[in-house]
Amino acid sequence: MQRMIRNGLAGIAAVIIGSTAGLAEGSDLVVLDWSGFDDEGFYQGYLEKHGTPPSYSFFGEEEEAFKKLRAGFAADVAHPCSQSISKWHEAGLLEPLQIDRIERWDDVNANMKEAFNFDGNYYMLPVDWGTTAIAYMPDRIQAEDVETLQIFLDPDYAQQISLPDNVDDVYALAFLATGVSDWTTASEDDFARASAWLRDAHRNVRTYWRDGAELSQLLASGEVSIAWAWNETPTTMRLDGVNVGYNRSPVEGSSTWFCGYVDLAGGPGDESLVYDFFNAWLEARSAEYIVNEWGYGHGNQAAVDALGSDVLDAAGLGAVSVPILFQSPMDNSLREKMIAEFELIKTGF
Amino acid sequence: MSIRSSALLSLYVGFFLIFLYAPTLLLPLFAFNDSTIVAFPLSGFTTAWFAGLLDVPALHEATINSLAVALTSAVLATCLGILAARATTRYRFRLMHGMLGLIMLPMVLPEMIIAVAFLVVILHLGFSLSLFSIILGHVLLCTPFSVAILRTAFQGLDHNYEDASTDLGYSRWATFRLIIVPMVLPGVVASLLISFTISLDEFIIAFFLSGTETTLPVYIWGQLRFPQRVPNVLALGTLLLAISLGLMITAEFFRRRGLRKLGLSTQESVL
Amino acid sequence: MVQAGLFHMILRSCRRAVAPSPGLVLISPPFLYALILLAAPIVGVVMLSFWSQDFLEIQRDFTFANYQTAWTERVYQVLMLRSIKVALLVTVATVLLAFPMAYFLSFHIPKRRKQLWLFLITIPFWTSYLVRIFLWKVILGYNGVINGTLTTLGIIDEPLRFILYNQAAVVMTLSHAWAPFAVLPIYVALEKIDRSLLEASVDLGDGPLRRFFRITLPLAMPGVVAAVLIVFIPTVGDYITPNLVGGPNGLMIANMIEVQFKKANNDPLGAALALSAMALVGTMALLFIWATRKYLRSPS
Repeated sequence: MQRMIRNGLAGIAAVIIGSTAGLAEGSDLVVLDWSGFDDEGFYQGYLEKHGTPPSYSFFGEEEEAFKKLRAGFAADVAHPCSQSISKWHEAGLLEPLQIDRIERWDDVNANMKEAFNFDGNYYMLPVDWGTTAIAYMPDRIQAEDVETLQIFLDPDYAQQISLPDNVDDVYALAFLATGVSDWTTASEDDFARASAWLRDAHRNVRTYWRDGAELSQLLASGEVSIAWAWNETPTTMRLDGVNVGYNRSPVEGSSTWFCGYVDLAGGPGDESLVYDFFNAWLEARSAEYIVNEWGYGHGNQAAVDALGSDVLDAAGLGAVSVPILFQSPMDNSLREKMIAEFELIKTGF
Repeated sequence: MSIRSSALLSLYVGFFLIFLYAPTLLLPLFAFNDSTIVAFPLSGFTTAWFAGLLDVPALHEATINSLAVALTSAVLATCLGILAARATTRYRFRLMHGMLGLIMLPMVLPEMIIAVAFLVVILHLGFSLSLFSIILGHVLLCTPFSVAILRTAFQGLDHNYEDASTDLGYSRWATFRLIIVPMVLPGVVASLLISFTISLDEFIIAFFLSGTETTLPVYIWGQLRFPQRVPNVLALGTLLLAISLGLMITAEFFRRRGLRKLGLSTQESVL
Repeated sequence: MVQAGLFHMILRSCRRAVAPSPGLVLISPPFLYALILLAAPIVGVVMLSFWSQDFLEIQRDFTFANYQTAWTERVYQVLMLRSIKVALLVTVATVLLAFPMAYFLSFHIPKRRKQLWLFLITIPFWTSYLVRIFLWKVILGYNGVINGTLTTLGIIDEPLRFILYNQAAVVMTLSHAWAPFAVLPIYVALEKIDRSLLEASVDLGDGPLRRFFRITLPLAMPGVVAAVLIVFIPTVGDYITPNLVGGPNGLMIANMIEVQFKKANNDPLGAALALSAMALVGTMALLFIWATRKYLRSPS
């Protein structure tokens, strides 16, 4: 009888699998990506060559992708951000890139690609990046008030501030505010000062934003007036006619983050598909698309430069003369401490 | 009950329904609003967000996947729930409480732990991730809810009815069908509804256990991150709500018409 | 029909009296399902909670350190207590709000419309939870529906800030989310009440209130207990709602469990926290069942 039940279960399962399966057919490329990155504008070249887009499997955050891959989920390429690569590399998830198969490798942003040069092998193809700086609503906040990061500590703006629920961006802010613009050389004292600063800032925080849509909503609805924000947010909000300021040049500086594709060890798909996908991403039209439509920077530096400084400045991606905290990989033990400390701070400790 | 307290109760029910529908009432408002900022005042009327839903195959797949997963999970969880509820309310046997405890455990376990642990088990058994793995997880998650409701339905059934029925020469099966099923039917319907709702809305397990096919909540999670896509999601929500309500009303309409044709009073109902 | 078929088979095999107890036979499928799928994960989580982790490496030396941390460090104590407090408030609010609705459904709706009403109550919950939370923020927000209305009516000058991004907002959002889950079991229990008992009570001279407390409520208790458990237990483990509407002081224990398993690379502490929370919640649930046991007995 139990066997019958089990057969019944298996039968229903078979129907469902049979009716919806588009499961890993040998020739397909499986991309483990952030939700939303299946936008065809990013890989036109791949579509033209193969006719069908790759199969996407989505993650909501990198740690979830990491757990999934470590458990044995098979994908060909994934899209982590700078702070995760070392961890993924140490866990043995990554294969070195064969840079001779990447057509525009020389055009790729040098800082970003060199950040993941481990023993002469490159492990990440940087494709998207952005800046983190002060976004503010000019109808409620004077531009001169956001000339310094210390505004986040100002009791006058208590409850009108939102910080990212993202340990890297938040500590980039805290380090900059306490005079450190290169966190790879941060000392214990630097870390303690940054944490103390963040603790003060926490008192003014209305809520920590988790994604661009939430932040747009917070700013536009009047819930908060100042935020430590990605450039994507002011760019997309202006497209919708909202007047929002973005200052990347407070005296202490602002930050840059970046993400990219990695070639996963033991991916089930054909390696040539992986490189077709990479090459499609690096085309100039993909760069143009991501800058204009998404407000993100692109890993192909030459293509980004070709867009001209007007476009870049408008998108919050141009050059600035203040210190820039580049979110390059840092010592894992410092990062672990940052993570633990940020959780305590968020909880009010 | 006096007329006054009856009126009070009706008034309360009105407020309760407004509370239940409060967030969803805003859906159509902003789904037709031509701004990506979801706030008052409204800026203008547009149907563009609905048009934008038409040519997104990923969305259509996700919707169908979700319905399939939710329906299957609801039916399976309710079947398991009926067995567990009947067993533990009608009979006494060794280890009953321990066994029931294990069945109820997924309710206490944080979903993320179920998800991570499950992921390891499924991949180690050599299965690849698919909708089937999501269903396995959802059945596990929904069964405790189903048991909790169905135990209420099965509890305290008067055994005298059963005995009387058997005395009259009915088989146990006939007794079950004629006596017990009608008495527990509201519980079965409630269990199906709860399981369906949980599964349709679940995305922690679905995120971890999905392969290249997504379910609707996972898809929506992705879309909600981008301000430009938020109105599309609201349009989608409006559409789903309208379809659900429409289906419900249509079904009710046809049920009544069918009953009238058969010359039955509309008082007779499935429930 | 599927379940009917299953029962047919099961009952027939019971009659052949091969199985020692029909109860055992009945419970086997759900039990085995849970056992097969959960045994390995549970054993894994329990073992994990006694190990430790150094970045990516799990150290398999037995230690109580994780439990010590989980039970003695202030931050975990505060989060644990806060989770239980929030869950209790949510449970009380939800069940109190749901009871009159369930009562109305069972006693005031004609039989032929009950099904329609059940759907009416659950359908708003077929839209994504994230979308509902998003819209709650539009209702409760700075320029939201509530503040807008109150300002227009001249009741307040400045928009209220204390209705969003705090624990109260978490309680409200969750009470809404669980409302149908509390109505359904109570309704199921009320449906079973033999209406002749109520008539008898009136014949004996009971007023409506007395009848409610002597007959209706005690008989509805199994449903109330089910509703309490269905709402209370999962609420303690929720981390989505606190993240989205809890603001700086609304985080709960499940947020910490999530962080340990993900960013913090400390699965063992996450496991110890999760098991501790489970133990606490499980104990509270059992105590509650024990305290209400006289209402739950089956007449036999």
